[in-house]
Amino acid sequence: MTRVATYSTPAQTMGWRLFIAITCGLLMLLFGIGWSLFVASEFEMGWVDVAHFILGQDGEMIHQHIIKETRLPRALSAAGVGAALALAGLLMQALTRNPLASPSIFGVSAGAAFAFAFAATGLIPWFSALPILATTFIGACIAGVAVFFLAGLYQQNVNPIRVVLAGIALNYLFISLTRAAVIFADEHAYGVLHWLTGSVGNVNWSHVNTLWPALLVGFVLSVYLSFQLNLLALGESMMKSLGGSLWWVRTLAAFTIVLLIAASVSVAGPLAFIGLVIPHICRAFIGTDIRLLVPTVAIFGANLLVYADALAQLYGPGRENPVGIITSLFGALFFLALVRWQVRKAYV
Amino acid sequence: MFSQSLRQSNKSIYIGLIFLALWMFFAVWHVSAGAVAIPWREVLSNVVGYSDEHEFIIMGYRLPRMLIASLVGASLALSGLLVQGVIRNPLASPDVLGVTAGASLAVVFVNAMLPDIAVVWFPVIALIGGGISTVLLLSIAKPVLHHPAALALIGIALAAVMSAGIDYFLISRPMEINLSLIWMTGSVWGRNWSHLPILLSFFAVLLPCAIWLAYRLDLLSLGDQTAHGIGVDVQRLRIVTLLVAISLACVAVSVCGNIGFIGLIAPHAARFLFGNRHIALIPLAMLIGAVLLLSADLFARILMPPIELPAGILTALIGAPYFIFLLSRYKHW
Repeated sequence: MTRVATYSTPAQTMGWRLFIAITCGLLMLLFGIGWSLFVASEFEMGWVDVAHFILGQDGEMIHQHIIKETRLPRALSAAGVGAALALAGLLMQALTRNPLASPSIFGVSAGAAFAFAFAATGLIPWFSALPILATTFIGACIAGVAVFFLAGLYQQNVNPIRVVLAGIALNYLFISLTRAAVIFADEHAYGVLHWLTGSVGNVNWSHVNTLWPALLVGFVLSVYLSFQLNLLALGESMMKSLGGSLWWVRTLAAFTIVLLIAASVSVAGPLAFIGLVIPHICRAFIGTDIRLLVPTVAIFGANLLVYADALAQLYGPGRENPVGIITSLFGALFFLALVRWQVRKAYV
Repeated sequence: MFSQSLRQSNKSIYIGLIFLALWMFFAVWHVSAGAVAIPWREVLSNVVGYSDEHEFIIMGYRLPRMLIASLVGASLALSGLLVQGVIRNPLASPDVLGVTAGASLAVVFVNAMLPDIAVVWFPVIALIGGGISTVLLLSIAKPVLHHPAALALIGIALAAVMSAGIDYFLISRPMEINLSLIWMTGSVWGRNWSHLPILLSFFAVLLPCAIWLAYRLDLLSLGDQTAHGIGVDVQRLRIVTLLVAISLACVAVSVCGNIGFIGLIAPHAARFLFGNRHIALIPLAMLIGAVLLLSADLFARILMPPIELPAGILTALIGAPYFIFLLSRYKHW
């Protein structure tokens, strides 16, 4: 009996932690979305208008219209993009077993962004005619395959620092290509900058309608994959001997990652560092079990971007700041600290 | 032994002459190509002073731009050569270590705070920014200075922080920042004679320093212990060389913005062509750097005629794949 008790205690505390984390996360998310519906508006709006909107009552017409047509899609896309990027980051870290893996550092986001910008130039007509999600999906696929081969991920025991350096070089390459494509399409330097930083300022309901179905598919696949990825964390040979199929997990996870990144880039552009930061923070609270991490990471990724977007509107010097400024400033600092920690762990 | 070194220096002279010819070829092409195409003979006779038909275009716009592109390319290459020589790290270059990003951040910051500042101050500001970022890098990476990949990764992470800061200033202050924006993209566009004296005066000081350092760097490449035994003050040599290298990179950045990868590629190419003797590597690396940036700027102008791409984009297109190639060839993980 005592033995059973000692086994069950950590699992129970984990369960409680998960429950608390998810409940808090969801409450925070609801509050954040509600808050971002009226914050930083030119009009005098407040929780009353949100309540009116939810209860379907007739509030002030303009306020209801603002909430319905601009604020709600913006908040929902921010939440969806944050969740998708954080999930993609978690899957990438689990798949490569590299703590620095993430959509922006491995250049996958930048690949999707390049495809988007290239489609905007109209050089290849049929490519420009594709729906946005398909375009970014192709771009993310190409970048993913490139990073897989160029960084040597197919080798066993590849040095994690080599993978990260190759990914960063690839990222740089795609960003340069994107710059060239946007200059070609637009000839407006300020637009390039705005777009490359990532923003949810110009979204509407059609963006929400592309993003959320892709996010749901990605989430279900992540839940399915989480069992296999837990095995992979023990090592590739261990996973094979326990009956997992490495090839199948890799392919499916790659598909999920590409889908999630493509969906988020097609809405908000290449937002940096969310996929890196959130999984690490969640791991500190929840532990390394990927089954528990999948829902937590999704919820906290959504939280981060919703609040970051609200803050970008509130405290930025201009009224329409791309949310990417805030995430990349704090994300880059986090990245630096993480690199320092990892490098010291590896070499000192 | 003697004849071998003589043959070596003969070889280096031939290679140097080839690159000099290449540079002249690109220089003339650079001046002649553009919206108003000027025949080559016209360009040459203008420069010599026989004719003045296109004097306004050549003297006012294209010649200074050509000279600045060459000088900036040369100083970036020299900076990369010195950094690689002193850290003995194949992946090191001023941009990989975050020095150029620090210099850019300083210039953008000052430009956002004091929009009316004169161009003359840019090199000084860039020097301060580059110096601060180097000190930061060295203090963060102190325990792993001998692991090339780890140092490069920390440098890149530092550069990411700096460039996030640059983006913040560029986006949050669009009115003050127009000048920075043109400058930031790593472009040689719109440079004129006023930038040239700044570049040249820094060059006049720093190039003799680099030549003075060349023999000592040769000794350093024998290893710290041996160099110390021969009588080199290794620690002081490191610091002096880094100072010279950083100053070169920062001055280049203050004129042309963040042009990546030339400081990485040019020294490698020079080493590949001609061994490890720094006194021969210095002119060769500078020539290769000048040719690289000149050709990048040329193709950035003539690829899609009405549109002019920043030269930094083209150097990244060559440089990033080369960096990945270096990673795959590097064996000491």
